[in-house]
Amino acid sequence: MSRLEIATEGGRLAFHPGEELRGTASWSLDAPPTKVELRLFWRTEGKGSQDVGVIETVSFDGAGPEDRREFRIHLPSGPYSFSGKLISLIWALELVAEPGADAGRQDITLSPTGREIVLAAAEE
Amino acid sequence: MKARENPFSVSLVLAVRYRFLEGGWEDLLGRLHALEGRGAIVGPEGSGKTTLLEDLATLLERRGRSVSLVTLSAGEHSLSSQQRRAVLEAATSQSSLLVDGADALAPRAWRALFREGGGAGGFVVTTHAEGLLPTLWRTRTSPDLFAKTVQELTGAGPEAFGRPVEDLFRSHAGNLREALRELYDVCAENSR
Repeated sequence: MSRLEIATEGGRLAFHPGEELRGTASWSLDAPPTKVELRLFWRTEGKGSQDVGVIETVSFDGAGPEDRREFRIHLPSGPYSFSGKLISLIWALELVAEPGADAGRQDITLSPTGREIVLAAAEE
Repeated sequence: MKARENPFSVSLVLAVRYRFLEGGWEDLLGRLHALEGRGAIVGPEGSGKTTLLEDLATLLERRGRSVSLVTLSAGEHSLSSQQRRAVLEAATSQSSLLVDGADALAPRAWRALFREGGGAGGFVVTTHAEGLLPTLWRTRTSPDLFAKTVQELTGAGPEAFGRPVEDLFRSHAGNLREALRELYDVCAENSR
């Protein structure tokens, strides 16, 4: 079974807008990959249909079936991570390899306070 | 409760796969074979037509078939150029063509799809009413199915959310999607 993992530097999972996110992607795959890439994206969760925005993609050239690469991503200025009763916006990193359906994922927080913005109604 | 913690958020509900109330995949595939690969999945709103069609696509692909899945929303009375390309490609490559929400199409657009899709290696649609293609499968729901779905999502029965399962099921006329949306609201109002 394939393994794909993302480790952020120092295990940090909360970041400020515009900050540089550094980390390591590692994988052990059942078959040699044709492509391995890391994606920074946001998604919504909640009552309505899901939206997704891929903001940056880092391709790892010449990736072997068992490999480990460092990465740096400049985080955007927004949107911030937030939650209300009807919708949450969640930032995440995803490591994908092709062929195959396996992926590694790590949710992160992007906010000027370093914490998810919680809309008042969801806090009650 | 925060939306991302709600067990009835759309992404979690969509992850629940189709459950057969009677029969199973071998029955459905046997009937599809008997219908020479052409048929309609028929059922009311919120009864699992789309989920069953998606699961059929996955199953056919696992069995080595090439599949084109075209999704139409209510109000889409004709195929977009991209959807039309997918239909023509399916016909050319002998792929299975699966069309969700075919009854949204205007009669003329349906006739064109029927003509072009007829050349595909398989042609399955979902509709609310019978008549577009021979009926392949009828989807329906039950209070027990609803209870099992809630159990899968939360580990608890619908009663845990304040209303008897039968009551909730009937108040939405068996539309599981709407019943689950009501439970979303119940959870959203909970302060945990």
